[in-house]
Amino acid sequence: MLTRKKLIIRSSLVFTALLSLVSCGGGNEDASGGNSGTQIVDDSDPILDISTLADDVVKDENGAPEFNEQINLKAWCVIGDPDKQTYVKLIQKFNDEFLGQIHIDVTYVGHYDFYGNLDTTWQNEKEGMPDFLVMHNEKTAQYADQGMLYPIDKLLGDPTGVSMDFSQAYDNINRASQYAGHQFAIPMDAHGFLTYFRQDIIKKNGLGFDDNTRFIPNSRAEYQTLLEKLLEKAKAGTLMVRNINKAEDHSWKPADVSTFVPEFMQSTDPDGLSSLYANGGSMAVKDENGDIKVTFQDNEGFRTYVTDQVERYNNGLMGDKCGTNTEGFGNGSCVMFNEGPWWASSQYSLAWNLPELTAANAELNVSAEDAADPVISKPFAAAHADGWWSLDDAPEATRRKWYGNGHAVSITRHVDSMQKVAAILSFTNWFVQGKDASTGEYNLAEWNNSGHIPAWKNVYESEEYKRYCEKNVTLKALGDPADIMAMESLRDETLIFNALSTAVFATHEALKSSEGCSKERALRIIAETAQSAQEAIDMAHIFD
Amino acid sequence: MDKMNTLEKYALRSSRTKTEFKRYGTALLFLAPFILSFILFFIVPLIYGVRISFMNFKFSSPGTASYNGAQWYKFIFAPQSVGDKLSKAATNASAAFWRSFMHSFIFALIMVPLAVLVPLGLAILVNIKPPGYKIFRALIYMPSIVPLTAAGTIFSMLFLDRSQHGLLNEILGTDIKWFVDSWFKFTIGNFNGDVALAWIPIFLMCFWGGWGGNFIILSAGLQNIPKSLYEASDIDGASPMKRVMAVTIPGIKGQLVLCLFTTIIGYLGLYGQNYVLSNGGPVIPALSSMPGGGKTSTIMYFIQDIVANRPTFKDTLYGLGAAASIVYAILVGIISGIQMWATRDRKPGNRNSEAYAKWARIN
Repeated sequence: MLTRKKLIIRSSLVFTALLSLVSCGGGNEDASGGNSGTQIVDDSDPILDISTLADDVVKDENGAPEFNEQINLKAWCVIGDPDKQTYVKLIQKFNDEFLGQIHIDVTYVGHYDFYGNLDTTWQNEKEGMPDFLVMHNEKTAQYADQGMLYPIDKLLGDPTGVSMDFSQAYDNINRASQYAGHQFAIPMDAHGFLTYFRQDIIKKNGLGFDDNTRFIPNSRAEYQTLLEKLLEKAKAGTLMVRNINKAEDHSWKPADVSTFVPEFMQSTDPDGLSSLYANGGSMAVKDENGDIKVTFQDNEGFRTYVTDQVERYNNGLMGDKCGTNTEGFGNGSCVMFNEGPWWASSQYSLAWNLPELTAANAELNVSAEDAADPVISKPFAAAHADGWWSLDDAPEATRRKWYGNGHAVSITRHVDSMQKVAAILSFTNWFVQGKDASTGEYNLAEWNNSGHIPAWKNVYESEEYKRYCEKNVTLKALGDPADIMAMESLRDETLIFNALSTAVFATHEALKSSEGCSKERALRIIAETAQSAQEAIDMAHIFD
Repeated sequence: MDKMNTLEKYALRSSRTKTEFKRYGTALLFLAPFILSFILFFIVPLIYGVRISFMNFKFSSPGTASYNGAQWYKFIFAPQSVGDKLSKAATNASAAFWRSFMHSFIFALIMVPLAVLVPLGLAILVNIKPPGYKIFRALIYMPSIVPLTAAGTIFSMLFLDRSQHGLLNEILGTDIKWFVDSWFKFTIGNFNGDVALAWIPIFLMCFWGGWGGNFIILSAGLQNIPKSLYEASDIDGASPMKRVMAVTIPGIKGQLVLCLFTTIIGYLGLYGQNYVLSNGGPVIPALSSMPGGGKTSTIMYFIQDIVANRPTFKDTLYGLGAAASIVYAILVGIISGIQMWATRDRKPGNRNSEAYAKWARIN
């Protein structure tokens, strides 16, 4: 009996201990959930609430913020090398200029880790969050919807004393920084995928446009014609190509048709989105019940972009039999491929627009005529999608648009002081609209020179930007910011964007498979991928 | 007299308490760190996981969760019953779950016998101690010390496409699309199966990287078999095969059961190898946005996609991830139980001694 009693007592003790441990975990979570709940006081929509900010801003007689005590700011930045070096310099310049007033400490996180770290920190360790973020603009809506960011338009002006003229920002880029009719981030720049051309081969073979004076196509028809003519000539044995890799034999020889392909495999999401937006499409829309409906699969422009690739691959106009993209491009067995923009100026231009091609050289077989030709002696050219994916009935307003994302600054809800917000906005204003005290040049233009076009009109139109643009292959190829179309502002951006990318990627996989891929199969892949994304969205919002 | 009795009783009780303390207290003291860790890191999360699997758990605001009956289990077992709006999504989530589970199960079914028998064969050969056997032993174990990511890089480079200069394709002059093509397809009723060729590199990587562990355990077991048993079998004129079957295998039965047990559990939880080699792909378009929706996704992939890989799912579908984990644990328990039952000790010693006792009584 005594033993049974002991057993009961001991079991109860163990059970109580277990229960206390379980409720201990639950208790902590309740507290964090409860805290975030009580912070929302008077605003109807919690994502617009700014009442958590202590009204501690100090202003001078003109109403501008004053920083008598140093404000220390913690930032997370998605920018990586090589452009990170420029960003580091600019942060240093700001810290020097605002010495004793504002100091920024930036943590650079590579883009593969940035969003995972941010999600984890936001969900598990809110006190570890940075004060502001320098991240890709298309992520703004998602994080605004999660309640991670402050609505910046409610903080500009009277609350902080910092003003910004958003009429100078490009609407087509700024649209990604807005959500639910509010500004949740401040755009900095824009950039997108570029296509690289062997303009020497195009010119030498007389395949240029406008009497062989223009070597970049500017419509879907021109793009297709260029591919077809290149292959036709290669098959006939009349396409002359040459190796432009350093110290190789640069003599012109007929292309080897067994390895030649006019273009390498096209990109997945960047050009997929360009085709969607150029043809007036959207990734998703809200239906009458406010539910997100995936729509990219219904856009004829996007579908044609994918089925064009199927036809091109099956007809030998596109492929990867030339090896890797840069191998094929350098040795002349591929005339076009696409990649991220920064490689253009930091690597490709240096690798292929070689000085040895600009002077006659018997040893390397560079003729005086070729050396004197400004196109043939500079064989590498870069361009953004310029009407290449637009169908004949594409809307006039969008047919020349192409997709590009960019960087933007947003303020996290880790900040609880209006004075700190004023400091962040002062920095951002300094960065995107401020000028260097000694040269009078825009700070943003200096940043742009690392390979990003400005999201602000006055910077794009400035003399210093034009000067940078002259020398920078990437900037020249990225062109006018007004032509860029940033991603639409979507709560489920990552999920839908991944689905669109997967649709193109799965078609590429099907093309490469032994079974091959038909246009019908590609369309089925698009439809099934979109359907799967729709189901995933429905599941992800099961509690809404 | 009564006083004496009381003192005796006291002394007896005191001595019994001391003996009990000596007997159990020391053991408890040594076991305490484990028991505490076991409770903290196994029992509590298990209870919490079971609880979450019945809740509308939001990762970003966990304190606000409410019980939802067995909704997540319906997602897995009866997707049609979750409501009109979600039934299609649930059907595909269920399809992804069961497809992933079957991937793990069939992979383990093929892999486990090989992952135990090949190291056994190697261990027996090395145990003969041929010249240079120490080098062989080191070479056989060596793949096990290669980290998973490094092994993944080696196997990726081996199996890449020809255009990407994959080593095997370059050497053999072939252009096999290991990570794109299907190995074979089949149809059973309404189910269309498509077995990815990518399973072959995954299989080889698992096999190569996994044989060392079992080899070492079995080798150690072999060294403990008394030589006298082999001498006796020689005297009885047993053939080499008979010696292996009658002496070697029974002699290392304990090690064999251990290897079998850990290998089954290990391969049912396959994740790392397919993560580094194929990232769960090739993609199945109709399941592409579902957790575990790839042709080489396994059950662990399904769970990881929810609780780690995809932030959108992590926030709202954590309960489904927990339910999938519980179902997985039960299924692994059943499979391991069957294996333990099949390899249980049938006590031949008792039977023999009982027969001897009977014989002795008769005589």
